[in-house]
Amino acid sequence: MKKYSPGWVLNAGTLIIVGTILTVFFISVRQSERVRNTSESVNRTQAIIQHIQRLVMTALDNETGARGFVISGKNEFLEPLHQSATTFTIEIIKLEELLKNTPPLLNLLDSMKGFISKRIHFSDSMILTRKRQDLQAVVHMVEAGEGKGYSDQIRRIGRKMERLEEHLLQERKLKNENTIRNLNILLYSLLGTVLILSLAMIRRIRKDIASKEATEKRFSGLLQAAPDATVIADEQGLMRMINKQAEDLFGYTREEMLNQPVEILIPADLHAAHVHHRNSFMKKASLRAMGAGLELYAVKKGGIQFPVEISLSPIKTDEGQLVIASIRNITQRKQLENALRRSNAEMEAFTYSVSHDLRAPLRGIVGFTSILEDDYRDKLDAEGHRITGIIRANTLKMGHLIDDLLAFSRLGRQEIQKMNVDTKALVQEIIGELHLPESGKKINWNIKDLPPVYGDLKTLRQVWINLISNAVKYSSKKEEPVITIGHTTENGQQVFFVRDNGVGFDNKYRDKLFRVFQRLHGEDEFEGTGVGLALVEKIIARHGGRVWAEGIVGEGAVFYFTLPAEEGSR
Amino acid sequence: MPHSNTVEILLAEDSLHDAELTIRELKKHNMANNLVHVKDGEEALDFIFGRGKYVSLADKIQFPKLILLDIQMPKVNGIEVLKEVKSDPRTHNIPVVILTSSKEHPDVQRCYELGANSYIVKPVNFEGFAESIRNLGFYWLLLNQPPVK
Repeated sequence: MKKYSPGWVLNAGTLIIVGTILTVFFISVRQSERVRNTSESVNRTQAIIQHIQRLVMTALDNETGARGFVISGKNEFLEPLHQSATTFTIEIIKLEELLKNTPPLLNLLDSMKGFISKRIHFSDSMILTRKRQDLQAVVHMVEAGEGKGYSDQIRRIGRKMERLEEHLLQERKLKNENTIRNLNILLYSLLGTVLILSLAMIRRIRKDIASKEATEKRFSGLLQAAPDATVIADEQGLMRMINKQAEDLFGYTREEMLNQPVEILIPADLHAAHVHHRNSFMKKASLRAMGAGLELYAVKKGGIQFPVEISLSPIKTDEGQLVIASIRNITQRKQLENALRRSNAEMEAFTYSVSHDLRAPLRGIVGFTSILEDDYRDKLDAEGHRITGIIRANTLKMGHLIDDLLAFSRLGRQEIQKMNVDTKALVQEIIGELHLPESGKKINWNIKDLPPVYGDLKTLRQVWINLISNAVKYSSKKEEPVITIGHTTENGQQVFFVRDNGVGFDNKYRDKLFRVFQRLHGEDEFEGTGVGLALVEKIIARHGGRVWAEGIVGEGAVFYFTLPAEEGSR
Repeated sequence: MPHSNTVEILLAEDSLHDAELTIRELKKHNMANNLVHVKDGEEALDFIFGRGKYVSLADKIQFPKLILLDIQMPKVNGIEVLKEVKSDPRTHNIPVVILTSSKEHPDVQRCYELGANSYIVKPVNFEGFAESIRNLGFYWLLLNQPPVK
């Protein structure tokens, strides 16, 4: 039964009830027809038998009349005789009318009619003979028994007709009784079936009601448990359901909100526009955020406005189109965003100032030290030259630190412009442009097949430069440096790695690797500013990927990064 | 008096040390014979258009042939100077080379949009300067010769 909807069950139920009533009506009409037919048949049979007996009696009257006259010669005996002829005619006509649909009785009547006319004829000839005073002949006629024979025949046929008619009546009665009984069986089985069906339907409807109640309970439970203030409005924009969170958020009581237009929650100057948007949303309802790209404000009881984020989802119900609006108060988020924006602006001003103001004195130091070296060459001894060299080297290093720091901070603000990047070509190009250490150990490059990616060419180039130059730098003290660049796929993401057999690192420091200015090696071992890997981490994070590293002290390191597969990647 | 002769290069630079290094470098290559150094944007504009303390020279005004312009300067910054120079039809054609601390500086792009002709990352050395000038097609300046039309 489960596959039938409650609506289907109700329709079927209605149909069955109407059908049952019609059938019962039809059956009872048929039954009373049969009952009427039976009683009509009984009446008819009585009438037929009455007429038959009257014919037999009339034949007797005829015989008695004739005999009386023959014996007495009195005319008064002729009266019944004449009467009998008329009665015969009337009764025969009536019987023929009653029997016109009963051929076997009609046949019998026909033969009776023959004997009746013979009887009449015989009586008439007896009377004529008596009137001629031929007593002898009359006696002879009576004694011959011809007339009695006719009367006996009439009686016999009459009895036969009565029996036949009674038999036919019985047959008809039986037939009607059978029909009535059959109709009764039909009626009772119909009623029985309808009863069973009705019970099943009632059970089913009860179950539906129970499950509907459970659904409603669940729904209202969900509504109350929703993380956000939720308002459900109907097509007219009236609030039909709200949760506790909505009461708290807007400061209205349940009664103050229910069946009120949602516009009471919206700043007054937007009412007209909202009604318009609401109507067009109802026409083409779909799940979406409200006022995408706009700053939305809601209004509390008492008129205080606050920023909100609203998502709308339409639901079709028996009561028509409803819309669930989830409203989130984003006051705090806005404040955080503003604070972040302010701090970003401050950061920008700061880095601007760093880039300009920190460089100026460095330029002075380098520039004037160079003048000292060039123009006062003769006045400086070897130690003097060594010291000016140190001054210049330190100042240049400071310049590099500033450059790296600026590059790192700029990255947070730069737009990422994604395109298809031929990774293999990019890596080959970077290796080709690499400034290899003068110590000149031959690096054994092992470059695997590298799939193209969808990302920002400029910053990805920086990632590869930093990782590859790190690998070169940290394996430069090995007798046979080997650098492997390859890729694997993990959970639909491209994982690239750069492996070297250099000095490696202790895994317990691996989280420190990606922090700005954090270095695991002294300046005298390997030069560097400690920004390169932080930059790599930041670039990959901005691409939605992540970086990690594994190292073994003295044996080498592997640096991994992922790039999410994206639409547009080949 | 700087205006008595044709000024070849106007250097607008607030840092005296940067200016000294620049002038020294140009002098070394004999290119600073007619160089005037102004210490901020206001003075630069006064000099170019004969205003303020240069008002007495307004009649004899001779526009410099090249302006080396630092961006970050007190009072009136390099961008404002550039805007004014490039919007005045008399000075519109004077090549302006921006002096900047870093080529990544967001102002470099802004200066190009405003009509700057080239830029040099400080410190100014001869190679960078020559490169800038050459790219502008103003090599004649180095040779102290007027433009060949």
